[in-house]
Amino acid sequence: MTKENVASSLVRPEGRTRQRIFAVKKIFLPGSGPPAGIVAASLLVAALSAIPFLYILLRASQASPEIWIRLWRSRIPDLLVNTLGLAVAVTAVTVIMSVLLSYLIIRTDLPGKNVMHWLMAVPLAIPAYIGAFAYITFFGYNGAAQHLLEAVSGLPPGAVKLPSIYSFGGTVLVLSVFTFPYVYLLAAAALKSGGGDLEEASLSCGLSRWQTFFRVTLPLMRPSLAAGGILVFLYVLSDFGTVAMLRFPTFTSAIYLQLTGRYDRGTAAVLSAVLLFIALAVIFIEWRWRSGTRYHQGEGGNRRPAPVSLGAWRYPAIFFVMAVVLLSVLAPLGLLGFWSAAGISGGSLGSDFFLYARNSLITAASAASACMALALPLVFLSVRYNSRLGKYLVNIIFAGYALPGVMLALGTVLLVSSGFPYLYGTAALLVIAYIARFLPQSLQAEESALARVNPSLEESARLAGYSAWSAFLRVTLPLIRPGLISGWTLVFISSIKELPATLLLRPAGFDTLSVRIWIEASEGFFEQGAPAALLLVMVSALPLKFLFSRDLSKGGFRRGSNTV
Amino acid sequence: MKKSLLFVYAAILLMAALVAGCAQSQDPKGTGEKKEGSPLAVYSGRKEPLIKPVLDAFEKDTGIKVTLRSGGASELANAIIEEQKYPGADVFIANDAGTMEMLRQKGLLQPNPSPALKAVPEDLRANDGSWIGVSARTRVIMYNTNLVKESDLPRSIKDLADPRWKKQVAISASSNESLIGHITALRLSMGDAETEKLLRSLMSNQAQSLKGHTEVRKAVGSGEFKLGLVNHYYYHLQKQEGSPVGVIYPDQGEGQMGVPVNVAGAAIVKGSKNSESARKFIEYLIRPQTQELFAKLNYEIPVVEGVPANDARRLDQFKRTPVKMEQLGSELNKTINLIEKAGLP
Repeated sequence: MTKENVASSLVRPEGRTRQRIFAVKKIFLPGSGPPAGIVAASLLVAALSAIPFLYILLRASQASPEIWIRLWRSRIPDLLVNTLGLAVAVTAVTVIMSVLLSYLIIRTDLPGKNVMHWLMAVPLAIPAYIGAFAYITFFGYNGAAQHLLEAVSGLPPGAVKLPSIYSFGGTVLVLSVFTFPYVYLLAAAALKSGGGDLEEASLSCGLSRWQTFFRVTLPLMRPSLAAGGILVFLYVLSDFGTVAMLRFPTFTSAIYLQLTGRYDRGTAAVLSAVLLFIALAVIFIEWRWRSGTRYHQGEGGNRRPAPVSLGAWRYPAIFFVMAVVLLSVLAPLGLLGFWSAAGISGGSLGSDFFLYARNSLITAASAASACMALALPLVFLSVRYNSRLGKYLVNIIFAGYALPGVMLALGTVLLVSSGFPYLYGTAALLVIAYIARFLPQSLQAEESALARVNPSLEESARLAGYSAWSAFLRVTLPLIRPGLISGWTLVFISSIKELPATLLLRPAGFDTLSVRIWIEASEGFFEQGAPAALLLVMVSALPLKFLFSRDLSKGGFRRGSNTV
Repeated sequence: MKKSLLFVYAAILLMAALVAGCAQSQDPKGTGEKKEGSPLAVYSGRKEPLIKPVLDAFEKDTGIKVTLRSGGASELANAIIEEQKYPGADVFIANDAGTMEMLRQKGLLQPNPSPALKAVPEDLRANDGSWIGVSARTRVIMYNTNLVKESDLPRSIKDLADPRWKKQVAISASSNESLIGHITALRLSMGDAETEKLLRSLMSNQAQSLKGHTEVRKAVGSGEFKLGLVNHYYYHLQKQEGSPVGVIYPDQGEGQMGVPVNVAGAAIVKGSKNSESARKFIEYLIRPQTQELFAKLNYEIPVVEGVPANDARRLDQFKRTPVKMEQLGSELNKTINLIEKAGLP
């Protein structure tokens, strides 16, 4: 065997068998199917996330078949092309960005990487339409960038025109800089969970860093990249506000025309079903692609390798990371700060904001914690017990993430007012809606985390006499902890800035920060929403700082010696 | 590890307890059941700073407590449809007669026989009083005075399809209720075929659809577009910011269609257990003082006789398209069909 073959056989057994690092037989608990408790819990959780699905089915079934013909003759085919093109492009950009960023920040000796790691989650906390407005202010007609260009170059006004932000490229840029953390957080969790042994083995077999990266590291990251990529893809399908501001019409604009123009929830549901169908197709393609493929780390693989020395590469690396920080954090936050200064002196930040922040924190943190707990049985059923039921449930629930939030909100309104009126107008209902909407994020995070844990570790614990529960607590949970933290973060930030469901479901008088931003910024006065938006970013970034700093320092970076 | 687990679970429990606590503080009876004398629940699609002062004054003057849920008017209307078994709203405040009339035709509004409503012109309210117009708005063309000479100005809405204005006209997205109301008015005065032709020629003239009317007024103010199709108060708001903008009331000539008018208004939701307070609130909205406030805050046109109209033209100062407000609701579906057929974004 050549050196390369040895190294690749770490990842890829020879022959035509599917790629496996460790051959996993279906022997997690020999002879027994999944425990009834886990199945029951999974079904209960699935029932909660069925709200939007049932609503779509109910309303779509009430629509007449002719509307399909009517819709097909309208702009819908063009809009579909627009939407799919945008979703593919944004997914590709964010995955590539995240691979580079997570490798540089987690695996190398990049200066300031702890701060960078934390900063990478911040763009998620900026409501996308506020972020889009910041970009429009910079790059829109006669925007700051144009003035800057003219001032620096000394050219007369209008002599050189910057490329328009209102274009496919501009829309991809804006969506990418605010959604890449979906991928980054999961990819970083994957890198933190180990794989170091395999990389060291690969290096000691004589492969270069590059070869090791492509043959070992990247395949280990693949489940996380796919999970995060799908989240981004589905997010783009569901987005309305941002693309509308960037004058790039997508499929959701057709849904809004039916829903808010015609008040025709039937046709809106039919169109949403199209989104669901696309989402399911993408998810199942990815599933087929991944099926049979498993990347587990070996025994004791939770060890993180010594950081890779970047050498001369550190300059382009720093430049790249700083460029991302500038585009997705500093520029939008700088503008928010600038507007806030004007807004606060204008008296738009009152003592009530303490209340709004409290409401936001409580509902979002409850939803995030509940999601992490609720996703576990489903993820176990699907990953560990390899149950078909579990896999179908998980994948179908993923698809729900592509639905516009307003459809979920209306479904919840209908369900609650016809079945559970006592929930109406309570903060608990908000939490339920957040869970139903963002459970897919926690599922993606936990599934990709658990998929990396070798079940033989749990089996060893069982053989050593631990109960299933304590094997889970002592072995599995610590191993998936980075994934859990990423998932919690995703759900927490998504909930804290959620708008359509919050607007329709909050108890009257129970305003959250996201509602206040909307109230101030609605009808295009985005500057006025800045103080609340800035507060929202701060409120969500502080818990993250705490979580992340614990997380990075605990993982056991060994300083000093470098094995290369 | 065990410790941090404990911590996580303690945190979850704490959160659950807090949520339960919040839930309780929001609904002290715990039953969710509404009783006579509970606060008046207002769903409002108006921008909050434009309605909050009115609510505060109403609370102070009448002692009736009000809870406000602000949101998008169309989204709230959808919510009212979905929650009809257990209505959450007593009063619905909308920005478009079409939205309110649509709800009335679905049987979701409550008739209001109060004689006080007569202060509002008959064609600006529902026959059964279930909704009334509170302030009027007109559909005008605003222009950038630095970019368009007065002599070149369009005189008719049809002029916007002139190749002279290629890529120079900004309109709102077609899901906007004011634009939909405008297209209904066009249909009713010049017929479906002519309207479709106009929409198509606007599109081939590359009129740009922006997200909403604030985007349109800013784009005209900054000079990105020369012309914009807006409600009249957007022109006044942009002018207030110091932009070089002017306004045209099109189609004013003999035999021309005039300018379409729409109203923002308020309705009583069917099943309201606070009908008494709701009626008081509706009457409060058409008091001269409140009417003046709408004119002052947002340049809207008072619907009640004798209230001054802060800079904007009063309803009798221009030629109106003869369309009853109710038709904006009953014709809604046909208008959207036309929008879809023409493919207006």
